Amino acid sequence: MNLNRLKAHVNGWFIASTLIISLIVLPNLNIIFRVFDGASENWAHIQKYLLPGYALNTSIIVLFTGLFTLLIGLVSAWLVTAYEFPFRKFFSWGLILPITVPAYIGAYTYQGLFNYTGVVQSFFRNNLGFGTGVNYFDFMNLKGSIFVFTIFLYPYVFIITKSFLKKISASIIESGKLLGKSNLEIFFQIILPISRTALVGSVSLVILEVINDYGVVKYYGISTFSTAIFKTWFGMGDTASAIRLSALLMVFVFLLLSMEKALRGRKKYSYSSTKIRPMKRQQLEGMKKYLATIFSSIIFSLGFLIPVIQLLHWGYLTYSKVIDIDFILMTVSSISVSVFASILVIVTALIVGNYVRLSNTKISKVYSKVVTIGYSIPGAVIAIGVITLLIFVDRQLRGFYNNSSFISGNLLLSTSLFMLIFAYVIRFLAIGYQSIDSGYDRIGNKFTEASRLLGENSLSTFFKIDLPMIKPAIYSGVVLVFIDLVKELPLTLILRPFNFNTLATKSFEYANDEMIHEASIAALIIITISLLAILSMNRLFKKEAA
Amino acid sequence: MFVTIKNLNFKYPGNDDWVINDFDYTFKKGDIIGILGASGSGKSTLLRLMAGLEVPHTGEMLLNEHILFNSREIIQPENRNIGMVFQDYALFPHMTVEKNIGYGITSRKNKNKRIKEVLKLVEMEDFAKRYPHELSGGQQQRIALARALAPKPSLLLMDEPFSSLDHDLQIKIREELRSIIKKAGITSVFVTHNRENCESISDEIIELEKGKIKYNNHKITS
Amino acid sequence: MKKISVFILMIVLVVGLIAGCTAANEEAETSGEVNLYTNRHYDTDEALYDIFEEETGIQVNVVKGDSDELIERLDREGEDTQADLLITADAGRLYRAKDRGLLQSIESDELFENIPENLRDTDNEWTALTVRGRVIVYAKDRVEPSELSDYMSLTDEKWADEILVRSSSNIYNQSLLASIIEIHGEEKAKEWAQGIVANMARAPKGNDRAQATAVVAGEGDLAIMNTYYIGKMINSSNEEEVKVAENVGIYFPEKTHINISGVGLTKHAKNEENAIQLIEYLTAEKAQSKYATANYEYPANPAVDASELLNSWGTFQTQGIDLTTLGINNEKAVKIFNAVGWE
Repeated sequence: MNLNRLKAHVNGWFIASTLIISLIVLPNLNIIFRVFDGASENWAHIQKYLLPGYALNTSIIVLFTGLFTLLIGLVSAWLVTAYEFPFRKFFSWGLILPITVPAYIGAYTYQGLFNYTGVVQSFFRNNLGFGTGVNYFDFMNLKGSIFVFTIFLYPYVFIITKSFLKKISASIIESGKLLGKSNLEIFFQIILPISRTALVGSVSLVILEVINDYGVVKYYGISTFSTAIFKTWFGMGDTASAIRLSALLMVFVFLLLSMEKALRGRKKYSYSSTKIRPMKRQQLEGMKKYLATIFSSIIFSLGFLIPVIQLLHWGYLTYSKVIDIDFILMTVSSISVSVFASILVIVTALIVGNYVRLSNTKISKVYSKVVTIGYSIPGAVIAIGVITLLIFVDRQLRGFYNNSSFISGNLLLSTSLFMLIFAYVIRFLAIGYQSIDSGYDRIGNKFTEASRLLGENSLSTFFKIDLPMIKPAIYSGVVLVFIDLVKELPLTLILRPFNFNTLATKSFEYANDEMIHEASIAALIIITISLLAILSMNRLFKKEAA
Repeated sequence: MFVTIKNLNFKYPGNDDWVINDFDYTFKKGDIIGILGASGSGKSTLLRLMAGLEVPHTGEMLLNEHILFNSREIIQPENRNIGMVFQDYALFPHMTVEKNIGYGITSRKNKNKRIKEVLKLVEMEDFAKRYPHELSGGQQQRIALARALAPKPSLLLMDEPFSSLDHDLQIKIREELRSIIKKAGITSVFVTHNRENCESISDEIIELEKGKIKYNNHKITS
Repeated sequence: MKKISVFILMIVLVVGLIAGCTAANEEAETSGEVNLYTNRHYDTDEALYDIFEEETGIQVNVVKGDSDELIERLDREGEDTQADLLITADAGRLYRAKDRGLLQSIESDELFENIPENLRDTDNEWTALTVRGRVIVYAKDRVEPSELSDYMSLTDEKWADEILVRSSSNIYNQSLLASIIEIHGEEKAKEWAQGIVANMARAPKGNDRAQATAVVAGEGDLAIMNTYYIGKMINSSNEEEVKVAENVGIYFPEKTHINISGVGLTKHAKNEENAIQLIEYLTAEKAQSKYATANYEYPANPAVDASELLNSWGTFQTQGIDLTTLGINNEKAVKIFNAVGWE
């Protein structure tokens, strides 16, 4: 009988999923193995003089950004869920918008806005006559980077915490009131502990984004692990050191995630399907309500309004210079690659997701964990892993290439878009998978089983029943992955083929070439795409709820 | 014997307790078998094993002289010619009643004819073009039954067919269900925790406890 | 499994197509083209290539990228590379490419005539196309040029908290220090670096232009930067930048450190003859004058005069060292920077 059980598990879904999982794991294993290759002579030098600095800077940025995004995200989510104040409705989605601005774009926008030759200081100098000979604002330091990360990443905490708070039953708060607790006490003694999972989870997302970043720290001249990886890989051609730094960073992330798991406690997010009575919003009185509005307005302006206006202004100054046929072609190809990659991600997520939900074995649980590691590993590290792996493969296949007539004996895999897309899938599968997984979760297994008992096999059931029923999850998965792909920077910088630019790399390139104004057009396109995507998702959710 | 089950054993992965424990049974063609048990007794699991939705550790099952599973082979659910009505009906929400019922019918020639036939059987002829969410609980159950019967299965399984109905409806449905099934002439097995419902429509009752048969009785119906 | 296998097959095909199309081109035919890896993205360059195409019929295929990326890719591609020429800024980088075995010597009498020996690699594996100086820029209202002399004197006490210079991670600084190592030896070079760090007005941040801006903003009196950036600022579309440029003076230290933007012939070039032709063209007078007038750079060809603007800044004497040493000493320079804490 065990043969039957074995056969039942080793079906097509299992084989496909195993293939996919191996492809994901391989590049990362590759890094770990290569660490044992031995260090370069550079490494001792790096260890002594540079490593402590990298670790320190990375830790400081991570710590403070985590703290501040927690505060801002939590407070704004709570305000918007629990109270009524002027413009609350607007802010409840408006405060999400800063997420459409990639952090690196925010970085050079603020720098350009506030530096000596920027709008603010020039205004003070020329019109108000003071400030000549003094440089007031300077963003290009640790503090500046913490500000930028905080203001453009807090929406992660805001969105997740807000959706969690909405599901807290009103009766919990009412009980607190009846037991004589004040608003503040209820917040700290009841709300905060309950929200632990949501808070810890969302802050760790923020931290992962921070660790992954390259654009902000590079532009602001801060030495972190990611800039170091770039430097050793490109600047010094020191593959061995780049790999070691990558491995160290992976350890750092792993420690962080273990801490997160411990902090979260044993309970995962629970989205209860039973109807709870959500809390009623309390009308704020007097000064308090104006404070709430002012607070929200400041956050919104800093995170979205101000940077976008400045970018529009710069765009207006430079659009005729920047927008030519090459730029348009670049935009089109950048978007098509992102679309293609996001579809590939979703297809992959569907396959693995379907395998995981149909079998309930230890292996399937492992697979579902593996799928999500890609997101924790910084883009630069994935890129290094993928490149070193594919160079190796290419060299092995060289004989094959030379003998086959239609592939012109070149490095096919490691110099083409294939490599880039492969790495994209590894990195963003987690996001698509989360969406698909919750979609499958919602419909459960019964429809699939019903279909099987009506004579359809697993595959045709998948197309006739499963797919149509999780369409919303598929759509939101594609959209979320697409947005992230359009914004992606470090991985693309390392892996892109020549003459291939994305909106992100183009924008970043301009900024680093000291052409900040010209960088705005590409930046604005990215922001617009993200905005459209978010708006369409919003409409989708409203339809779903109806 | 129409259905034979021998030496059936099953436990869920990660769990040491045997949910189905050395289960043996046979039943006659055309009978309605009621399986009674408290939650955790293994009754739903038994149904799933018969349907092919779980793979047993040991055992064999024959349906109308066809092997469904034994130590050497196992037939996939879609090839067992078994119909099942789920506890919450699982009607496909993106299809009309008509399409739901027609889903399992393979032959194109007689499809429409057959759909009309079963709709008449469950007295829901006017509801062909409706969507599942437009139907009441009792109506959904009848459509779920029609859908399961449409492909003319050799065996019909029903998981807690009464649990989502209120008490009055249950009484009303009981007799209807028995008459529809007998008219269709189909062998059925259903699972429930409600003794009253069980006794009122079954020809035979099996009571399960911890995966083993506690007792069974043959009830002779008039 | 039919539908899924079809689907997977389709995906593989599409990916393969894309891969094939964007992977290195088909076997290059010899007569018609030359492939260029360059980090320069100026309109002047485009114009020059267009003229070359018209005059010779040879098509110029340009691949643009970051210098370090280009060298890394060249290394990775090995003999399969399609690149014929590598154009990049900084002699140190060109040395690095040579050191990794990525270049070969350019046999061309015309080239030897066009560009003097001191602006070419000792083994002729690369040649300069343009020259730039790394000079001292000072606040016009606070500093007299007479107070300045050479790079070494910048460590003087009187410049405490007055010096603005960008990060040591930038190759231009590394080459500057490399040249100082060449002339004064490692120990003195380290002392110099320490002295500069002690005199810094702030921890290094921003690019060269930001240093000039900081001078005018009063953060410091002196900055170290490349000559062409000043040209760019003077002609900037940002009024504020122009004002900054107008308020700083340019001082050429005794024995000014120069660097170059240059081109090398790749070791596995598939279109060698065409490549050499292009090099000869770019180093000849016509092309050199274009470089001179449009990009605020000094032409490498001595027969061509610098632009008016550049001439207005004055003349200078160079360090007179072999530019190869900028590459040879690069590693030592980086290590000194790290040791003295020049961020």
